[in-house]
Amino acid sequence: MVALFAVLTLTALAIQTTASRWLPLSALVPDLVLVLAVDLGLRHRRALAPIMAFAMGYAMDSFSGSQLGVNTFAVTLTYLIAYEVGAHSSANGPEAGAVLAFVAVLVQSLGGFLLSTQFRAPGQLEVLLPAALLQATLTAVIAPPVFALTAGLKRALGLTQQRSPRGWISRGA
Amino acid sequence: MKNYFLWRNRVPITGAILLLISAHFLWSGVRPDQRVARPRGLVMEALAPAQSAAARLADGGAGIVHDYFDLVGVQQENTRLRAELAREETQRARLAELEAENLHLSDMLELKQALALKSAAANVIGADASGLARTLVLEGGADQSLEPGMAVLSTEGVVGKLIAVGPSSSRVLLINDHNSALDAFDQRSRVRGIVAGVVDDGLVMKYVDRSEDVKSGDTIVTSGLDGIFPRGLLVGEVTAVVREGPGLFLTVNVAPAADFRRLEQVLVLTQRIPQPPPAEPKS
Repeated sequence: MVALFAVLTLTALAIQTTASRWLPLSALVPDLVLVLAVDLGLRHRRALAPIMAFAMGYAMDSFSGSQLGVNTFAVTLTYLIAYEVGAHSSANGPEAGAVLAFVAVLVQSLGGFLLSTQFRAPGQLEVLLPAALLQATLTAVIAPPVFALTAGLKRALGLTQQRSPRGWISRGA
Repeated sequence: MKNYFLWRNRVPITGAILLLISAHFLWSGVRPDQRVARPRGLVMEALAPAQSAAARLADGGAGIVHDYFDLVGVQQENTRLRAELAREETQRARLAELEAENLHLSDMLELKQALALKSAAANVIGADASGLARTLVLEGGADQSLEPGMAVLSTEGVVGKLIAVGPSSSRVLLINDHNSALDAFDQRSRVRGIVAGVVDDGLVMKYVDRSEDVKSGDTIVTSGLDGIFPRGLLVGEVTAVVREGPGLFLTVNVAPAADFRRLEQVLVLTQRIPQPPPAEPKS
């Protein structure tokens, strides 16, 4: 499972860093790493999973912004929220995942901006909001196919999932 | 009982600890040379070949096989000529600035600045992974003697500075990122200020006194006082000056000279610039 998510994260980062150069708006590139973190939180419940989420955020920080920690914090937080949602409610399907991804992108964009500027320029948030909303919507739209892809890859690799009293549990972590 | 609680909640507890660690990264402001930031170079290294290949595919459409078997010689020549052209363009821009400065009572000092600085050409192979920050990934890193803090230029003007360097790839913080700032001045009126990035891709010149003479259409160039960018490099053009409203300073909007979305190759200044004496521009 670690290897699968490592490969998926690097692929997601390669897509995100390459695609944004060729599109008119960088906000048109969905945040695939956050989608993977949501998938991890909803369906993968071993102690290694938050460490994987942390590593995914750190990898994201290697290709985004100037300050280490913004994406590490956002991705780990996204994982934890997804984990709690999956554990304490029955809403852990692709729709719930899409909503979580939408919220996560908004929180990451707006919260990340506030954190990286150390709350010095809150007035610029309204300029950032349309782009953040666009990226969050695109990420939410693309989240269900990404969940289906990861589920398909897990099945193909023999990393099957079973339902537990606290949600889906992956075997083979 | 206590152990059962810990075991049952091991995932959220682990997550919470990691969240605290990432919050510590944030608040402590990790520098690129610190040990905790070094694995970033490895991650960049892992992805550099994929980014490089994707950039080549997207750039030329010719493909990797085409690159390696048919046009190796032509491409090397092309790269060399582009690097030469970039150097010439930069030199020309600097000479133009020298001419303007000579009109403003500067001679011997400016001749020193006309000395060529060592530089290395690098291909742009990626952009920022999020839509929030403005960074680029370059093909070339510590193996090419690149270091964090080095200035990055294009034929159009100032691009940014290196913030992270891996063995064979590096990242540039663009001047229009909201965490970026450089010392610059108005070429016509010699008024100095700090040019910083804003969220909507533009630039603003900060700390310009309300009484200063700054107009739309003025050219903004680097002052050299930040110790990163040599004096006289083109930053952008003033697009609007807002004199109304509260505050001590003017709001000066600047359009960057370089089109960061179309950059394919840049120059990295591998030689640190000598500090000019704080003389002419008004502060």
